[in-house]
Amino acid sequence: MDKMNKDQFEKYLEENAPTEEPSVDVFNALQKQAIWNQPAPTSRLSISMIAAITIIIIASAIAFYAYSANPLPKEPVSEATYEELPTLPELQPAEIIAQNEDIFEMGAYKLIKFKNEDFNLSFAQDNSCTTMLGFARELNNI
Amino acid sequence: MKNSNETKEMMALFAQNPQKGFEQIYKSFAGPVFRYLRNSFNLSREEAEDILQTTFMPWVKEPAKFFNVENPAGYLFTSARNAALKFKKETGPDRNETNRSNTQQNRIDHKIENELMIKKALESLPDEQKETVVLKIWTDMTFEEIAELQKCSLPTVASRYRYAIAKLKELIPWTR
Repeated sequence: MDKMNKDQFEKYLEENAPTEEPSVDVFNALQKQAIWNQPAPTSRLSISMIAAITIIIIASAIAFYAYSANPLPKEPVSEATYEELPTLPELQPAEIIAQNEDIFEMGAYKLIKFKNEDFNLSFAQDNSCTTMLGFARELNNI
Repeated sequence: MKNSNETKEMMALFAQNPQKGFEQIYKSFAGPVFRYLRNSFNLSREEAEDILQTTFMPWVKEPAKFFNVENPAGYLFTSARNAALKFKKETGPDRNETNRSNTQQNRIDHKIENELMIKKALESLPDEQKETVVLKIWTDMTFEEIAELQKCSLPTVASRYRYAIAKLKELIPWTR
């Protein structure tokens, strides 16, 4: 469609299109660099590189198979140690009673006197204060 | 340049036999790309040849990368354009005068005279207009293809082309 719309001047330009071509050197330079014209990698350096890599691979394979056949003995692993808990003798109720016999035999006065130093002894001796009734009697006397 | 069927066959051959395929691709596109570089970017022969070589180099170094290219013309023109713009950016605008003198040749005949006259008129156009005319008239690209290459809209390309043709008509004393 574009071509149909071309006027006389555009046709004139088309007829006078430049005819210049690139020199053959460009094509030759490209061919020289082309992958299909590159020699196979058979240089001395390439061969030595390939040999070195092959040796490394073979050595690794041998080492791997040797290890697989005779695996290293496993080191014994010491079992985890548990901290010993202190063992307490299991006391029977009778023994407990025997141990605390002195305390049971003490009367209320002795208990208060020897076991609680801060206790008011004079108050303990006063029978009238041991009950609420006694306390009420005291109030009546006032 | 080749039509789409010929292009497909050429690319198929390139995939099968890169050496022979490349010869065909080069034969089809090297000339148009070279003339595009020379006339759109005011490059000397040597500069255009360098850029042409750069454009085609990946095709011969790693051909497998290009086996699936469907539009080799578009690809090559785009590569050449990018390389030329980069080159112009690096070298700056002062190099044009010396290149123009390189274009003068001793062969004098009518066609060459016309070619030189057109070339001189083209050089006076803004870069985008010049490029549009070269692509449209001398490489048979469509406006769509040019718009894709220049990364701009279709109306922009059409307008650039119209302005360029009008200006060239004023500058060139052409006769049928």
